[in-house]
Amino acid sequence: MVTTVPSVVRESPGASLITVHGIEKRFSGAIALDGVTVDFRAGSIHALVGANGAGKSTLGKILAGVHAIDGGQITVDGAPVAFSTPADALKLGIAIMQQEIALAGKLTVLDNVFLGTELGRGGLVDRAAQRAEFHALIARTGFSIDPKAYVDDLRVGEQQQVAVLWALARHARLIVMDETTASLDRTDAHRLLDTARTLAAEGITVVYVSHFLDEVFAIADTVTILANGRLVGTYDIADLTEERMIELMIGGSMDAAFPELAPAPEPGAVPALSVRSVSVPGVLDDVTLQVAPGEILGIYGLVGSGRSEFAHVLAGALKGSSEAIEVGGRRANVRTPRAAIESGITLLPESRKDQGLFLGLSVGANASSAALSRFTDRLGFVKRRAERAAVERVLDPMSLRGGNRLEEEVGNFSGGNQQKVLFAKCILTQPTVLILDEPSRGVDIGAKRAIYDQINRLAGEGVGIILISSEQAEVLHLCHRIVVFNKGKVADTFTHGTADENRLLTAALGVDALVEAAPTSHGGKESPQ
Amino acid sequence: MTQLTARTDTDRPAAAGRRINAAMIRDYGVLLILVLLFVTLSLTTSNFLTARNLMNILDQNAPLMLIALGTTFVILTGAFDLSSGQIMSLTVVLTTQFSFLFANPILGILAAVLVSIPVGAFNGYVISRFRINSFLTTLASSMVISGIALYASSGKLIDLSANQTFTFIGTTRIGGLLPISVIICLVVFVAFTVLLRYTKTGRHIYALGANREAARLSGISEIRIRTLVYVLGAFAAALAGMILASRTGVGRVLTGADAMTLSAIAAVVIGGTSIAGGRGAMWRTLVGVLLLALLQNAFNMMGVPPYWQTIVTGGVIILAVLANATASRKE
Repeated sequence: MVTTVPSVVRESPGASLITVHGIEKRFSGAIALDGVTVDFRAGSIHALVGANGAGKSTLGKILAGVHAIDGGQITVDGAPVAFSTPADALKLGIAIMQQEIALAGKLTVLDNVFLGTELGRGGLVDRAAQRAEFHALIARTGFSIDPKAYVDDLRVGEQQQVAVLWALARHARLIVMDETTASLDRTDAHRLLDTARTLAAEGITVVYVSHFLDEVFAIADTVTILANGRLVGTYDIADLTEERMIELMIGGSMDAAFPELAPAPEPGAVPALSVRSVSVPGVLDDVTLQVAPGEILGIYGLVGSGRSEFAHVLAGALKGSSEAIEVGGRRANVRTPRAAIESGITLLPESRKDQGLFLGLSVGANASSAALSRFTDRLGFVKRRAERAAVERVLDPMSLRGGNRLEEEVGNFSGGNQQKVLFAKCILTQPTVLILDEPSRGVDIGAKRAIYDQINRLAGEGVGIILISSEQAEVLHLCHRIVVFNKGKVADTFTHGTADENRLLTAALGVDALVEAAPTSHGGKESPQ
Repeated sequence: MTQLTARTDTDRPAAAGRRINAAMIRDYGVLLILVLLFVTLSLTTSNFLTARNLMNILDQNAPLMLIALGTTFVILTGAFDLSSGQIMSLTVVLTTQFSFLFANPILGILAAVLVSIPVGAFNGYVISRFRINSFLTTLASSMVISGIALYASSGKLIDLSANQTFTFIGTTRIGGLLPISVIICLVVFVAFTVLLRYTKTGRHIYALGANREAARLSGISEIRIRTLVYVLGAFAAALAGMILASRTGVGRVLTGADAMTLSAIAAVVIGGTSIAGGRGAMWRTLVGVLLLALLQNAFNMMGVPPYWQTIVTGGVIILAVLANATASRKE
C-alpha cells in the first residue's frame, strides 16, 4: 500500500479497538470471506466497501456477532474473544444498525431505547430516570425525537436515530452501520452522516458499510476494500480517489467458469418482450426496453436501483404504470401473476425460499406448481403420468435424477438443487420471456455453471431472457446486452464486449455519468423517446 | 451435486414399502399407536372387538369425523375455521324448521344443508379478499351463526322424532348393523381424499399453505382456493348437523358446538397435519379421530371417570403437537 502524506488534517486515530485476523466465513459451502484481516481503531469512521457480494456486509455482521466465524480470530482491546450472538458483541460494546431495523414497532421510542436494559430496581421501571437518560442521549446526538411516539409511526430516518439511541443506551463503543442510508431520502441520509460524525467525535467508532462512494468520501477516514470475499487493502481516505477505489473494488474479481456467449438472436424478429415507459412511483422511472427471442438481456444495478421491482411489475406481482407491455408483438396482461404467466412472462424470483419454492412439498409438486393447468383434465384431475414425464424432461438435463427423488421434499436439497427445481418450475410454464432475478444467488460454483448452461440452452430455444444480477461477471459474460439501472432509471446500455466492470459499476453508482452511451445491438434498438 | 439422505414422504402411504427407520416412525407413528391401542383393547377387554361396539363407536363419532375432515382442508391452507361447530348447530335447527315449513323432510334437510355453502363462502372470501386473520374472522362468524340458530329455534320447539323419513339417516342401520352415518363419513372421506390428492385444486391447497407468496407468484388464486376450503368445511359440518338432527328428531341448538370445533382441530393435529399448513393428509385426520374415539371408548369400558378422560385427552394433544414441532424443527 502506497502511503502519501495526508492532505487533510484530522485527529490522530486512537488505539486499536477491535481486530479481525484471518477471518473465514462460508454460507452453505459458498465462501463469503476468505482470510480477511482488518484493524478497527477507536474513534475512527471506518468504511467497508466493495461490489455486491464482496463480503462487506458479512464482515460488518461478524463484528456485531450476527454471524459466527468459521475460522480466524477476533480480538477486542487486544484480548481474543469468541462471540456468536449479537448479545455477546453488545456486552463488549459493539452494536449494529441494519437496513431492516430491528425495533419493536408497536412500542414507544422510550420503551425501545431501554428495551431489556430498563432503568429501575426490583423489577420496577423508573420511567423518570429513563426519560432523564433519554434526554441526555438526545442532547449528545442532537436528535429531536418524541420519546412517546410509536416507532411504527416514525419515518425510516427517525427509526434509525432511535436505533442509534438504542446502541448508545447500551454504552456502545462501536456501531456498525450496514447500508443504513440505502432506504433513506437525501435529507435523512445527510442527517445520518452527521450523526456518524458526531459519534466519532465522541470517540465512538463507526464501521460504515456502504456502496455509495460519495458518502464514504464524505465521512470516512479509513477505508477497507473487499472483493469477492478477499481483502484488497485498508487505506487512508486521503490516499484514494473515486477512480482508484472502483479499480480496487474490481481488482479481485474472479471469473466463475462461464460458458460461451449464446448465439446472437436473429435480427429483425418480433421482440419477445417490448416494454415502454414502465413506472412505479418512487421506485421506477420510465423504463423502456426490448428483448429479442433468444436474446439474453442483463440488468445490472445496485440494491435499491429498482431491478427487482421492474421484474415484479412485468410478472404481475407489483402494480405499475406503463405505456405498453407486449409479448411476441401482442399486448400482455400483467394485472396478476396468473395473467402474466398466461401472457408468456414468467419470473424466477429472487428469494427461493420466500417467493419461489414450497419447501415442504415434493420436488415434483414444486416443479409443476405454476403450470398445473397443462396437466389437468376437464374434471380437474391431475394427469400424473403426463405431469411426471414433463417434470422429468426439464429436470433431467439439469442432473437431478428422476425416480423417487421427485417425491422428496424440496427443503431437503442443497441450494443449487433447489434452484434447479425452481428453474424447472419456470420452464414448465413455457414462457416467451423468462425473467431471472438473481438466478445464481446462494449456490456453489458447480451449480452456477449448470445454471449458466441452462440459461444459454433456453436462449437457444428462442426464449427471451432478462437476467437480473448483482454479479458483474455474470452479466458481462452471459448477456448480449446489458442495461444498467440507477435509482429506478436506465442509466446506460452496453452491448456484449463493450462494457467492463469499471463501466458497469460507474454507471450503477451514478458517479460521473459521462461514460458515452454505447451503441445498442441489433436485437434491441431503444425506441426513441 | 449434493446427495441428500432420502426422507420418507409424509403423506404417500405408497412409500411404505421401504424398510422401517426413524423417519417412518415419525411419519406413521400415529397409525402405529392407533393399531396398538386397537390390539390392546381387543385383547384386554371382552366386549371391545364386537361388530356392534365398533359400529357404535363410528356412529357416535360420525359428526366429529365429518367436521374434522372438512377442517383439514382449512388447516392445510394454514388457516382456522372456528365456525364449523356452530354451522353444525345451525343445520340441526334449520333441518327441522325447513322440514316443518316445507312439510317435506327430504326437501327440508336438503335446504338446510345447502345453507352452509354461502356461509362457508362468506368466511373464505372475507378472509382472503381482505387478507384478515382467519381465527378472528371465524370466531366472529361463529357468534353470528350461533345467534341466528338461536333465533331460528326460538319460535317453538319442533319435534320430528316420530317422523320416520326425518329420522331415517340418523337411526337406520343397514343389515341391522351398518349405520348410514358411517357410510356418509366413508363417502366424504373418499371424495375429500380424491380432491386433495388427485386434482389441481388439491395441489393448490397444499401450495397455499406451504408458501402463500410463492403460491401468489405462481398464479394461484388465493381467493378461489380459500373460499373453496371454507365451503367444503362448512358443507361437511352441515352433514354432521344433518346426522345429529336426524338422530334425535329435535331441532334444538347444540350446547357443545364450540367444543366440537376444537375437538375437530385437535383430531387433525393429532393425526399429524401441520397446524402451519402445507403438510398433512385426509387419512391422518381419519386416524386422529379414531384415536380419540378409541380412547374414549376404552375409558368408558374401564369405567374411568370423565375428568380423567379429558385430562388424558389433553395430554395426548400436547404430545401430538410436540411430536409435530420436533419433526418440523429438525428440517
